Amino acid sequence: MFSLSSFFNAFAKDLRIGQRIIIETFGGFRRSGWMNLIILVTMTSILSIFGALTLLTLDSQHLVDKWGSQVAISVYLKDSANLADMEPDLRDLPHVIKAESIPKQESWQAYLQDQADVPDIPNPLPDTVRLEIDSPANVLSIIKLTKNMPDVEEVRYPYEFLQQIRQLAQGVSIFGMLFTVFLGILTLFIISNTLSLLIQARRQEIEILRMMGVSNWYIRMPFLLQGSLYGLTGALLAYTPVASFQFFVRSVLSFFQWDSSGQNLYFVVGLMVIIGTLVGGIGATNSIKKYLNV
Amino acid sequence: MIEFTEVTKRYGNQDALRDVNFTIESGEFVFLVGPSGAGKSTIMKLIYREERATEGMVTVDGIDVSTLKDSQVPLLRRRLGVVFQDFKLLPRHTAFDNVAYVLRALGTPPNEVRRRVIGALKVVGLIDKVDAVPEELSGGEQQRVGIARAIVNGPNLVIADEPTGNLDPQSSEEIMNLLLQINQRGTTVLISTHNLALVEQMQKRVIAIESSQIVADGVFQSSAS
Repeated sequence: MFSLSSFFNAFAKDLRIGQRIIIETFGGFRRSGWMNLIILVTMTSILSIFGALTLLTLDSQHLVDKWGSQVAISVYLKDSANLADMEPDLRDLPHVIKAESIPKQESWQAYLQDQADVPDIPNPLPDTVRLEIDSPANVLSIIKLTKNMPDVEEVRYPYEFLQQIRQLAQGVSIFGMLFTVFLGILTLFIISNTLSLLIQARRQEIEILRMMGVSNWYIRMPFLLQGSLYGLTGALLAYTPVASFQFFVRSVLSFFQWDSSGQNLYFVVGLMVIIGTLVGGIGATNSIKKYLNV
Repeated sequence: MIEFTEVTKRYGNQDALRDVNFTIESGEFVFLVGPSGAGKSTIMKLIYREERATEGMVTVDGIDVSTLKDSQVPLLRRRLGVVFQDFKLLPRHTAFDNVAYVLRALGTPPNEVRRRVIGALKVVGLIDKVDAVPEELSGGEQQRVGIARAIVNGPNLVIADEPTGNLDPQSSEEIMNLLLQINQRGTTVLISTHNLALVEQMQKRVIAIESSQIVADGVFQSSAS
């Protein structure tokens, strides 16, 4: 029969065991001394690098996606070209749904209003025609067509530039991820070694606990918790450098009047917490398997 | 309480025990004697399931230890008290904490821990040394703390592996008398030892083992008698 008092007694007992496990875990941190600092610095560093690289990849992808969906190109005309003559020619191209002329005087005035301390020089900007195209699939053919026109100096399409940024970011990310994996393995090794030393130092206690019938999970849990807490703390400490990196990236992007998503940071921090805790836990499990054969 | 039936334990090609049979009834006080390497420690390890028998059956307190799952081993060990030759005390813990350590790990309420630990330390005669750390205690006193720890959970069986191996003759005698007192309270006691003088003095049942086999089982008869 269900008895409320026996339920509460069992619950109170579990609480006391949980409390002992927490005491043992923090005892483990105390015994680890300077190794705590080494592990946390390494863990925070790798998670910061990982977080920054993930953020860079996500932000560049977001920019490419956002700008890539805009089907507009800018056609810069040669000085010898006549803007009024060119605009109808460009408008009549297939798939072009709108053409907007931006005279070079207008562009120059806008630039002067935006920028302070511009030296007194002649207007270097070209006349521009901004074309809107019916679909992203047709953008490249229009670029090709306009580039071959004799009065066209250059054609700009942000997507191409963003693709280059993305490729650069991907290159940096791949190198960075490899470096992160290397540091991750190093961290696993350091955590595993520290906990192994701790297990060796506590061999006597563990032997007594085993002989007196204390459960295996009670013996293992403080080591597992210690390893996981290294990862969790490292992830939380890495929040500041990663947030600072994002602030820097956003500043650069806003200088170019580009907006990026603000949601990525929370996703990346969540990812860092999960990966950090997992790395710590795996490091601990490794040493438990190797040296704590209970 | 303990039953070995046709037990053989092999390490590689080497027999540590061969066709061992014996029964220890509840409440008995038994010595296990024999030279080093004869198989005494193997018998002890089979009882607390540190090792598994290669052949045969080992039953402890009604539990078939030979087929016991690993996850069930802690439950078996909670019914036993183990005393070690080298005491295995935690150096920076007081006598009280050494005895209380396992009870706390098992989630025993604090007032219950205090009651049981004080009770166990009274039984071993160390109530005035509750706050002493091991280095402040003599060898005999350290072993008493070890015995208090073994009995604090109220086990049905206490097994002691060479409990006097590191002690002088007087302390050894005191420890044996203490284990006898514990036995007189109803606890089954099994002691492995090579201290034949003590065994002779106690006049209790002796299981003698030599070259992996039991060679004698009965009350010790001194050569003088």
